[in-house]
Amino acid sequence: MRSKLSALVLVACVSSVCGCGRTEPRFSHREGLSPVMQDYVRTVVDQKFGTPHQIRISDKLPLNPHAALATVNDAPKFDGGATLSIEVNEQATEVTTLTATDVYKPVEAMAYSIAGGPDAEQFKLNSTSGALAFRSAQVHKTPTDSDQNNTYGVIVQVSDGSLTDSQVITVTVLEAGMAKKEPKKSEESKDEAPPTKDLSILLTETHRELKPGQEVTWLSGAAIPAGSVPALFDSYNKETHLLSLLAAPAKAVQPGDKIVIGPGEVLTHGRLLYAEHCQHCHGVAGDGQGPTAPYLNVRPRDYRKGLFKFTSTKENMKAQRGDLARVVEDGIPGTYMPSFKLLKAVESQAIIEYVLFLSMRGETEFKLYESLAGDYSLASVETRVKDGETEAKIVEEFVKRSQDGEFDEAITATSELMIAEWVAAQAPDAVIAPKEKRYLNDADSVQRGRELFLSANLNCVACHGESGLGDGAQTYSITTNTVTKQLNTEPGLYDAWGNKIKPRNLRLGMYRGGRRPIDIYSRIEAGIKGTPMSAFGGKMTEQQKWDLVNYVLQMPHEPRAAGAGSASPTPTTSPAPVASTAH
Amino acid sequence: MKRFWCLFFMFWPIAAFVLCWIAPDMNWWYPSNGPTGMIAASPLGKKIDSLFYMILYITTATFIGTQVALGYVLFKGAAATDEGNTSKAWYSHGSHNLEVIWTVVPACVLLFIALYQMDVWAEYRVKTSFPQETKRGAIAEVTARQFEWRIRYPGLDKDGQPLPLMPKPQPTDLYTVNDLHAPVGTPVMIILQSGVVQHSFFLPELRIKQDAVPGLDIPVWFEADKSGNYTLLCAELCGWGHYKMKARMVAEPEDQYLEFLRNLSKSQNYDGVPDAATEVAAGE
Repeated sequence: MRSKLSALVLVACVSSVCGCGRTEPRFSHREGLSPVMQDYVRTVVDQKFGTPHQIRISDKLPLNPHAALATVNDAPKFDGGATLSIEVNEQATEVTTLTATDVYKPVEAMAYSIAGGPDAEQFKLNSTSGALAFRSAQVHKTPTDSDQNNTYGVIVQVSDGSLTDSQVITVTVLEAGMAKKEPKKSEESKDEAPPTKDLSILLTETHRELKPGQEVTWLSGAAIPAGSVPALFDSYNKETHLLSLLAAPAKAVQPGDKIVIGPGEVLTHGRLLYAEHCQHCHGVAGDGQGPTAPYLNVRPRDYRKGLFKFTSTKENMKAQRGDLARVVEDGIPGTYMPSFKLLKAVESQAIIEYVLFLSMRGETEFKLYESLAGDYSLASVETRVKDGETEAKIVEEFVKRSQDGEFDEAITATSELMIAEWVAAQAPDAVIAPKEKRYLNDADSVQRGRELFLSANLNCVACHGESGLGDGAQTYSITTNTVTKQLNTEPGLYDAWGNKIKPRNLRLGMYRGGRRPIDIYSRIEAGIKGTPMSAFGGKMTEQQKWDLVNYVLQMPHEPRAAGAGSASPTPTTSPAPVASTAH
Repeated sequence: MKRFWCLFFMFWPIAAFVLCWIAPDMNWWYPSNGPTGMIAASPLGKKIDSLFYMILYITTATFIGTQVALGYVLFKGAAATDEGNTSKAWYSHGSHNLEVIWTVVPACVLLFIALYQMDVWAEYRVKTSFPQETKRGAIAEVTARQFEWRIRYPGLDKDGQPLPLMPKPQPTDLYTVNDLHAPVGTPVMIILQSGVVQHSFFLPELRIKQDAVPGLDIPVWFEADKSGNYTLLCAELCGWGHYKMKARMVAEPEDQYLEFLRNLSKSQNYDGVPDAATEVAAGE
């Protein structure tokens, strides 16, 4: 309670510093778009992302530590269908052994009982084994059944703890010597039950208290078709495993459907923590423009490009959750991103989910803006007005096109692609896996690495400089912008966010993306995303990559002569030929 | 009414006495969420606490004494203004003897405190008086920066034993952030540095506080009595993120401490190929 209060106080403080009382991300103002189009982008993004309670996109990524996961349970089913006819010889007591199947509950969990029937008293039933027998042996000549025709009727029931099935059994007692016929099974009926608001579920994981009004999302199945009203949680009975929704879903619920209760909880929690720990640098919308940001000379990350620099994933792939977790836990040395090691696991998970949410939200907004800018940016509108159209006409045309849903398909396609990219990056095979283990870090390897560093093929020196001080020729040349592919107006290197950046001084022993060999390997293999550090993996053999890693890790410990400045170290042997193809 | 004021002024020394008496039992003086509760978690901390209590007793006694004197004077003065009292006011130009007494007595008390605490101070801050165990060298270099604690441990030799900590970073060194581990039950020394501005290395449960000054390598020693997680805070307002500059100090038995270093070494040398991380030597 106390920590919650202090968080609230902090939120209030941070908000007052921002000069705004909100912590929910809103449309971050885009220049160059007329107010009508801005309204449209805002509406679309708000519909898609709304408040974190209704987040739809992040649900599709598997991990969600705050939500309860469940599978919809199926009812047990008697083998043999709704009715069963059995013939038994007289003098025998055993009738049959009932069996039932249940996909989501083990057979041991089944409980059998006699539910009724005209001759229920004549039978006994073992509730666990399902063995049905007469209480006393029956004789054909002296029937004891209710209508005295040697046909005994009983209704049995099987329960898996919450759902039941019943079966009507007709037992005919035969005269001695008459042949027994196979039990007659009834046809299985396949009527689809109408949707109900009570469902039996198997709760597989629950991390938080379930509260009425929480959203219930179907991860599989067709109970909630796209665009229909979301199902809302009402109550859950722990003993009968029955979950009640506030209203019945649109379509019937199928057994085996995977559902999530409260998928937005993690974001609600994450938003609060984000406001406490992250917002003053990274901004309410995750745009890296919090109130502290102007004072930092390594700018806080703007998540809205969907780009994160230090990842373990392959070239051109998005970040894994683990990469973000590593940054939250250890910080980024050499920048203002501190370590948040003392956060609880569930807290840092919530923050990461919220950062993913902001990133997806921002990227959607960016892409939407980009797709509209061609025809409707202020500049385009101006050109079109010059060409003879009137501004009112253009706006009218835009409104009509948006009302007709002309942009919807493009929007859906872009966001689906983005989700697919995020999902792909979470897969285990997205991680860079060296084919060979690290080569021995000996003097030879370091020397080979140094020659690679200086080689014309890799050209590390162009940015990092011959001594690795980060003072290569590119730092004072006019370079090509990695995003626009046009020449920058000012000399130096720029990242995807438009910030002027310096190549790393490799002699400081400060490794922003981590100092493990695999971290350095990943930087070389896949580059640093959003920066001019590109992927060099394809240009080197496995051994060469490790040689270069060994050299980079050795560089801060190399003795350098006093007054040597950035003078080029002279390699003792001529540079080794570099493999021109990948592996 | 005038006697009410006499009583009012007499109330405070009594309240002060009662509060000082119950304060230790009510956890008012010291942080109490560490593994040892409100008792200092180190032998040096206990000595520092006893110094604190000694000063507390002296100031309590002084406060009570001066308040009682004040009460006495008030009562006497109040009686002198009663109806029918014919005693006259008298004027004083000070008392030389009295002034000498109230100068010499506090000076003696201060001198006593100054001399009495010298051993503890020397043990805490003077490197030649550090415990013998710290002569083996520092276990880690702790660098304060805005707004985190970065820690450099020496690496391990081929037998898995810690190497000595060198002043300059070595290829074998191991690094953590906000996570200082130390063996329990033995004095250990760290080298305290600051990367940016002034910070203060504060282990409240161990009663250790030392400023970190840019450009200085300051040796700090401490000894945790009991295994567990202790709080490590910054106690010098160092910037806007001062509030979040919190880390943990984990005191653990020697074998667990070595195990921690070995695991750290293993994860720091991880090369992305499972089960192969340990065999590569970390450096030359």
